[in-house]
Amino acid sequence: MVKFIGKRLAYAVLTLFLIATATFFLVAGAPGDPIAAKVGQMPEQAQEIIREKYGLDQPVVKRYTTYMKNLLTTGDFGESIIYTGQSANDIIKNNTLVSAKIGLLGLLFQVTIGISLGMVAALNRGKPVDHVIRVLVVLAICVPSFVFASVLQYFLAFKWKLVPVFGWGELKHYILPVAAYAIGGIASYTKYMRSSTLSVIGEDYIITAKAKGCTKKRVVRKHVLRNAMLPIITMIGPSLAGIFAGSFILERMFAIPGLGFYYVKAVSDNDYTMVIGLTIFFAILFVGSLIVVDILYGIVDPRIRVAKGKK
Amino acid sequence: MSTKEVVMTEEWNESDDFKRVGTEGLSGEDIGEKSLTYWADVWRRFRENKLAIFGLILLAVIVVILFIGPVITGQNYQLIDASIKNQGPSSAHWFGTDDMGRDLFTRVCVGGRISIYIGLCCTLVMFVIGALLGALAGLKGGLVDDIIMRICEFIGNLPYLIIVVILSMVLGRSMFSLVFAMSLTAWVGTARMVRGQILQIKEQDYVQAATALGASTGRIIIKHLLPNTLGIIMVDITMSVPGFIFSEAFLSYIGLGVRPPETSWGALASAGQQQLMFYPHELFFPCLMIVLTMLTFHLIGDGLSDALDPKLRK
Repeated sequence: MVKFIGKRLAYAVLTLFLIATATFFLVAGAPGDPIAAKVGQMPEQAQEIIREKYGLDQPVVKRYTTYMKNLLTTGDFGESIIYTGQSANDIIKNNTLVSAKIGLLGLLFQVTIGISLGMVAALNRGKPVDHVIRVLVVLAICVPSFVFASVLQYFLAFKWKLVPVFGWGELKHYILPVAAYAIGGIASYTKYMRSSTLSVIGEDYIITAKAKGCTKKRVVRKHVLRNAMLPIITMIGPSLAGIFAGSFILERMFAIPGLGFYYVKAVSDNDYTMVIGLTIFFAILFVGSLIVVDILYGIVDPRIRVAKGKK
Repeated sequence: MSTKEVVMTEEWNESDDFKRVGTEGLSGEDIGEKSLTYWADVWRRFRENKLAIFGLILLAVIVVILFIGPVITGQNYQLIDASIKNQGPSSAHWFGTDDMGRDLFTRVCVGGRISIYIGLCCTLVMFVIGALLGALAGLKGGLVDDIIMRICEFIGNLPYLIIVVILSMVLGRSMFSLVFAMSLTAWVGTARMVRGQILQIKEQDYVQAATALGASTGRIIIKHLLPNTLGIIMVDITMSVPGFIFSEAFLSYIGLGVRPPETSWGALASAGQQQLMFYPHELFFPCLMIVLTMLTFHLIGDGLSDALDPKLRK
C-alpha cells in the first residue's frame, strides 16, 4: 500500500510539473500582447516600466524559470496583469471554499436523491413510477445545466420572487445554484442506480434471502441496497475530482464569487498570469483529489486491494 | 481438409456394413428461418424499438430543417434591423428576433449547422485517433501498449475542462481550435475501450482458430476484431456527438466558442441568457433545439446499445 501511494504521488508530481510547464509556455506563447489594453494610452517610458515589472521584457524561458522558482519556494501563483495588486493567491485563499461548498452540497444531493430515485424505479420496474422517473432522467440528461439554471432563475427568482436572482452570502443564495448544479448528476446517478439495482435483484443471493424468509424491507435494505451501491461508489470518485470545474458557468450566472467565476473572468480578460496561476491550482486540486479517491478505493473495497497486490 | 471430408463421407456411403437408421423423418438440420447477417439482425431489433426510431426520424427532421429552413424564410442571418429588435415569435419571424433585430429562426438554423458540424468533426477525430491507438495498443502489446497507456493515463489525469479552455484561449477562437481542443482529450476514452475489447476478443476461441488456420493479422483485424468492436464503438459515437455539442455550447457560453458573425446554439443561448428577464424567447428557442437534438441522440444511442446487446437477443 505504501509503495502504491508513493508511486502514485511521484506520478502526480510529474503530471503537475508537466501541466505547469505546458500551461506556462502555451499561454505565454499565445497571440496578442497581454498588457496592450492596459498600457495602450501610456507614454513609451511608462510602458517600459510596466513591462519590466511583469518581466515581459525578458525571454520566455527566463520568465518560466523565475515563475517556477517563485511558485516552488514561496507558493506564489502570480499577480494579475490587469488588476494591479490582485494576486492569484488572494483569489485561491478567499474563494476556493465557496466553490467547494457548492460542489460538495450539489454532490451530496446528487448521490442521495439519485440513489433513492434509482432504487424506487428499479423496485417498481414497469409500473408508472418507473416510467415517470425514466422520462425525467432522460429529460434531465438532455438539458444543459446553464439552461436549467436559466429556467430556475426566470421562474423561481424573477417571476415568482421566491429566491434572489443572484448574489452570495446567505442560505437562500445557495438554493438555485446547488439545484442547477445537482440536476444533471441526479439524473445520471438515478440511471446507474436503477440498472445496478436491477442486476442485483436477479442475483441468487437475493432469492436465497427471500427463501430464508427475510421481510421485503430487510431484503432491500441489507441485500439489494448494499450490493447495488458498490458500482455507484466508484462513480463518486471522479465527481469528487470534478466539483471545482463543474460550477464554472453557474458561478458566472449567479454571480457567485468562486474560483470558476474568477477563472472565466481571467480568461475573458486575457489576464495571462491569473490564468496560469489558477490553472496550476485547479490541476493541483484535480490531481490531488484523484489520488485521495484512489487511496480511498483501496480502503473501501477489499477486492481492489487484492487486485493491486497481485500486480 | 475439405477434400478429406468428402472422401470420408463417400467411403461412409459406399460401405455396406453400416446403415443410417432413424433419421428419415427428422428435419433438425433444416434451417427454419432465413439466416440474417449480424447487422441485419441489429437493424431488425433496432427497428422494433419505437423510441429509437422516433429519435432517428426526429433527428432527420431537425437536420432537414436546419438546411432548408433559411431558404424557406428567405432571411439573412446576419441582417441587422434596429426597427424590429427583440420581437416575439410571429408569422414573419417564427422564433422572433434577437437584440439586434436578426431573425432568430434563421440564426438557430445556421448556428445549429455549426453545432452539429462541430459535434460530428470532434467525434470523427476522437474515433479515428482513439480506435487506431487503442487497436494498436491491444494488438501489439508490450512496449507499444505501455507507451500508449501511459499517454492515456497522463491525459486522463488532466482536468478536461481546463485543457479545453487553455487550448481555445491559446489557439484563438476558431472552429479548428474548438475541434482540436475538444478532441485532444476525448480520444482517451475510445482508445481505452477499443483496447479492452481487442484484448478480450484476441483471447476468444474463434480468433485462435483463425490464427491456427493461418489467417494473416490483417484478415483477423478486418474479419474478426473490427466487426466485433464496431457495435460498442457505434454506441460510443452516438453518445459522443451530443456530448461535444454540449461542450461547444459551454465554451461559447463563456465566450470561447465560434467567433461572430458565425454563431452556434451555445453562442445563441449565451446571447439569449442576457435577455432572459425580458425576452425569454431568445434563450428558449436555441435551448429547445439543443435539448431536442440531445434527446434524439440519446434515444438512438439507447436503442443501438439495446439492439447490439447479445444478452437481450431473443
